[in-house]
Amino acid sequence: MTSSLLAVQLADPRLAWAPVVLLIIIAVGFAVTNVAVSILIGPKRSGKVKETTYESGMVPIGDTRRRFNVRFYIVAMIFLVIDVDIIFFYPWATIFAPYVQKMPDKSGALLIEMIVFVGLLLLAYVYAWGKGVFRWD
Amino acid sequence: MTTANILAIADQQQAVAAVLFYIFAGISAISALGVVISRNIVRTAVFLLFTLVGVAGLYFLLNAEFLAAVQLVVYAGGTLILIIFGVMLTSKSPFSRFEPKAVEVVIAISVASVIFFALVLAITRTKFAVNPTDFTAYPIDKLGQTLLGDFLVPFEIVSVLLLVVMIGAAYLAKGRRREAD
Repeated sequence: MTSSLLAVQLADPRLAWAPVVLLIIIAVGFAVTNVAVSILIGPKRSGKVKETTYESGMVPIGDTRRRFNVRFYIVAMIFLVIDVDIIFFYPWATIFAPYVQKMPDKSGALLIEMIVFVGLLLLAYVYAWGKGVFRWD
Repeated sequence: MTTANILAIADQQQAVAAVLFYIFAGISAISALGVVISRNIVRTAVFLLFTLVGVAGLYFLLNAEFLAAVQLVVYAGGTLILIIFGVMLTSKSPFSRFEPKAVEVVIAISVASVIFFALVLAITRTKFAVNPTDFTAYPIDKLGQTLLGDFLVPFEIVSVLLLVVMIGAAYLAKGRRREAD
């Protein structure tokens, strides 16, 4: 009974997410600490230039809330398609490494299956490229 | 290691899970309120991001990793980007704001209260299982094996569907530009 309970505890997949939680804590903590420290000990001088929007050293042009060029629409669509594509990588990636280790003869077929999957999408990419979607003129 | 020790660890894990649940549920609930209350459309979208991330966290807690990944990538990543792009490409006024009329507020509140009542009724009447279900029953690698084994043809057809979407989008975008010229 003890050993089986222990096996369940060790196999708890939630524990595997501990590094992710740690990463989130570090990321959020870093951001919050930087802002808090600069508020606490930073000099507080204000001026016309200092109150402009920070644009990596460039002088900002106009307002943020202007209408953007409709060409960005195709960028959004391509991003969405690749985004959905990535979702199918996840289950594939979880089985590919074990297959390579345990059944190397079957892993080749697995790789080809994914290459076909990505290759079909690459066809659309080539089509869009040929249509001149990526040209900016 | 004794049984008492293991049970103590199990208790600890349940406590951690409970704390995480309240954190994620709180993020979702507060951001959802923000979505409703905020008049600024961009702020609404950002609040929606935190709502969706909170829900993804709840999926992680339920050991539905694939669903959580889909939630993060498709909803928090894709759908939200689409909303932001929609605002960027269409907004006319420099500060587009929601100014709901009184009638719209009344309709929204009545619909929301009906849904709220139905949800409360459903939750209080459902008999939830006391014992947790076996979370090792549906591992992600099993999903991968099924997708790339028995359901290989539908899997590849998904790629064809995405191909059609991308070609369609490229065709439409280029067609519109030719009209403009």
